[in-house]
Formats: sequence, structure tokens, C-alpha cells
Amino acid sequence: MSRDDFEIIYLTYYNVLRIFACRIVSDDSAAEDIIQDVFADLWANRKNIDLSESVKPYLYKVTHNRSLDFLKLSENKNIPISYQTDLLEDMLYTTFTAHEELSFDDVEKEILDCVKQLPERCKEVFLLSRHDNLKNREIAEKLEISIKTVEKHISLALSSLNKHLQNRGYRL
Amino acid sequence: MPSELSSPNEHDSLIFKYLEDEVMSVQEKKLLKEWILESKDNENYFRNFAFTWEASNIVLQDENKVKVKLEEFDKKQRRHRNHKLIRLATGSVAAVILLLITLQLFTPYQLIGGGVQTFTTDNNKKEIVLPDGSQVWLNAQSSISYSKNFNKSRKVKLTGEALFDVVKSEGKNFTVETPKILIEVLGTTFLVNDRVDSDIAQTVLESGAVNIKINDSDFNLNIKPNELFEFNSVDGSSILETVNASSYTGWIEDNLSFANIPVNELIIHLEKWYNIDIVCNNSEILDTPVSITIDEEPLEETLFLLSQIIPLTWSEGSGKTIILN
Repeated sequence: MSRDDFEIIYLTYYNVLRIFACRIVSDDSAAEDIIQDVFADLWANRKNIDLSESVKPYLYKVTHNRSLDFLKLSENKNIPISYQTDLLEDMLYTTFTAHEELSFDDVEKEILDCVKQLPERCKEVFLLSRHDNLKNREIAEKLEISIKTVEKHISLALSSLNKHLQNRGYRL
Repeated sequence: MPSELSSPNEHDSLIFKYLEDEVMSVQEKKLLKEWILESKDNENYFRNFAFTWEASNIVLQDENKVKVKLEEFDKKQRRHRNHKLIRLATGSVAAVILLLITLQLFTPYQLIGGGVQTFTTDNNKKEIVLPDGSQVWLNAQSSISYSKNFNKSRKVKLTGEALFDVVKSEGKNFTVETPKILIEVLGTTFLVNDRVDSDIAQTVLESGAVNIKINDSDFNLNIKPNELFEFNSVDGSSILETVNASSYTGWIEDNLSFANIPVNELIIHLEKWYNIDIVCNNSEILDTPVSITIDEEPLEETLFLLSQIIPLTWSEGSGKTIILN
């Protein structure tokens, strides 16, 4: 794996992995640390990584394990027990790791097309969330609308995207 | 509110809440789980939604923000690199070079105008970061210096033993100059090791490529990974042989730890670690594999430990030489 390959992988997956880790550890900065460690692992193992196979399941797996390790080591021991058996988490995990590298280049055009067609306010809220990484509360403050409305906008955007992608044949 | 804001599917808002990692009540989570378990279709719907969620996060993210994180990552890696150096050195872009230079031939370097920064060690090791971010590990009884305009020329002068982890700089070579030889590389990782009680200048390259010149001669050689180049300044002879280059770099670690390495390689490690010469008169033990970990143990203790694993006795020779029988 070259440095260029590494950068592409980093830029593609950093954010979703961070969110994934944060869901498990419920701590933004811990999640960031975990992801930096995950990529340090990837870089250290770059000689053994076969890029003809998807690197994505590997990344999610390491993130998953490291997040659980963090919980085990952290003082708050209440969380992990309930966490490990959660059906939803498992489903999310297997979804993210199951399908092999679906090229996001192809999906990109579809997503951008669909976002363009969203109602103006909905598009604005969705991009503030996805592109500017603002939390729903921050978007609500910025646009002087309620958090509920922000949630509805994002929910609508995701539903539309989901329908659009499925209609175009992007389904699992 | 316009009607389009009502969710197209009543479960979308639950799924959305879950994916966005919003606070969900136990009741809401239960509802979502039950709905998913109701049918395979529902499960697939959830999975597809999760995929859409993931894809939209990746496609719409602000790449510049992630690039900042990548820079942070690179910085952190640099800080931690000393612990990982051995592994890095085996990577395809890294090169490891080792030099052994006699003290007798050492002449003090002339100072370069503009001031010179010098670091020296006695019986300790030292880590130094050069102005360009390159890192140096200086072994015992060594000295390294560079001029104030280092960033223009990237030249360092060395006697003693040091490992260099050099940052790439567009079009700027990095040069290590010693009394006897000159090594030139682009950004790479390499080791320079200068022993006071040897007559020989040595260079070992682990991977990558470097160019070696012998001072005051036209001699000029590119060596390949895992090649050891030796220059004997007394009779002017030189040797090129294949070695295991990583044996020459272990000293920078906090301890030496080996699983099944042959005694002849362990000897090289011990020489660097204790700053001694080891002569082995019993060639039969040289290929014997040993596993051993050395932290702060004095030499005596290590030799005793070794004598418990393999049949050997030892005695002290002249200077800092240990003779194994």
C-alpha cells in the first residue's frame, strides 16, 4: 500500500469510522484517538495489506475492537455489557463490513444529483450536517429553527437519498 | 410546516434517529428492533438505509476538514516513530545505514560560518530533532553537528553512532559526512553508527538506496538493501557482503528482545548495546538460535544468562573486547 493509497483510504473512511467509534464509546475525543490508532495500525501493517481486497471490513473490525477495548479499560464499566449484545449495533456493523468495496465514486454522482433536487432548506440543513459536520443543535441555533425541524430535514434528505439510490440499483 | 417534512416512512425517523446516534428512549429502540425483526424486508430496509447514511457521510464530507485530521495523524506518527522505527526501517521507503569509524582518524570538523549546533553523548543515548523535522538517535560516545543554515543544505557531520530518520524534502539531498566517508540520501531512514575502537568504516543499508563516497578519493558506490559495505582506512581495502541489516539497529530500542535469532546476529546487537567488541572463537555456536530479552542488565549478567542457554565461556580481551569460547 503506497502513501497515496493510504491517504485516499484515510480521507474516505476517517469520518464514518469516527462516528462509528463514537457510537460505541460515547466520547468524541476518545473516538478520535481510537481512529488515529486504527490508521496507525493500518500504516504499520501496510506491507501486509492486500488492496485487491476491501480494506473497509478490516478498518471497521479494528475500530470495533479498539472501541470495545477502550470501554473495557475505561472506568465506566456499565456500558460494555449491554453494548455487546445489541442487535442494532450488530446489524450496523455487519452492514458496514459485509458488502465489499462498493465504489463510492459511482454513488457520489447519484448522491449529488439527489441532493440538488432536495427542497432548498432541506438541502441547506443536510449539507450543514454532512459537509460542515455541525451537530443538530448547532444547526438549529445557526438557522434559528427547532432541533425537531433540523431532524425532520435530515431525515427527509436521508429518506430521499435512500429511495433514489435504491431506484438506481444501489441496494445491498 | 409543509407536509413534505413528515417522514415518508413512519420508521424512517426511528432509523434516522438511531443512525444519527441521537438520544433514543428504551421504548423507541425496542420499537425499532421489533420492526426490524418483523420481516427480512424490514431488515433489508434498515441495512439499505444504513448504507445510504454511510455513503452520504463519505460523499458529502468536507475533505479539507479530514485533511487537517490527516496532518494531525502524521504529526503524531512522527512523535511515536522512535518506537516503531525498526518496523519502519523494514518498509520499502526506508533505508538503514551504519557507519563504523575509527577514533584515531577523527579530526575535529571545521566550524561552518553562521554557527554550529553540536550534540554529544557520553554513556547515554540521545534523541534529537533536526530543524527540518528529521530525527536522530545518537548512541553512546558520539557527536553530531550541523550548521545554522542546515535547512538550505541538509548536511550533518558525525562521529559516533546515530540513527537518522530523514524527512523527504523536494530536491534536497540529506548528507551525512564523517571523517572518512560521505553518505547521500533523499528522504529516508538510515542508521549511522560510529564506534571508537574500530579501524573500519561500515555502512549497512536495510532498504532503499544510498550513495557512498570515500573522502579524498573517486570511490563512489550505490549499495543495495541488506548489503554491508566496509572500508578499511589502514590498508584502503573495501568489502561488500550481504547481512541482516536489522541486526545493526536494535540498540535504539528501550530493550533488546529476540526470538530465535542466530548467535552471530545476537553478537552484533550486543556489540552495539554495550558498546564493545565481541570475538567468538567457537564457530559452532554461531548458528545456534537463541531467544533472549535484555533491559538494563549489565554485560556480565547478560553473558551469564547466555551461558545458561548455550555452551560458552567468556574472558575479557584487550580494550573493550569480550572473547567467547
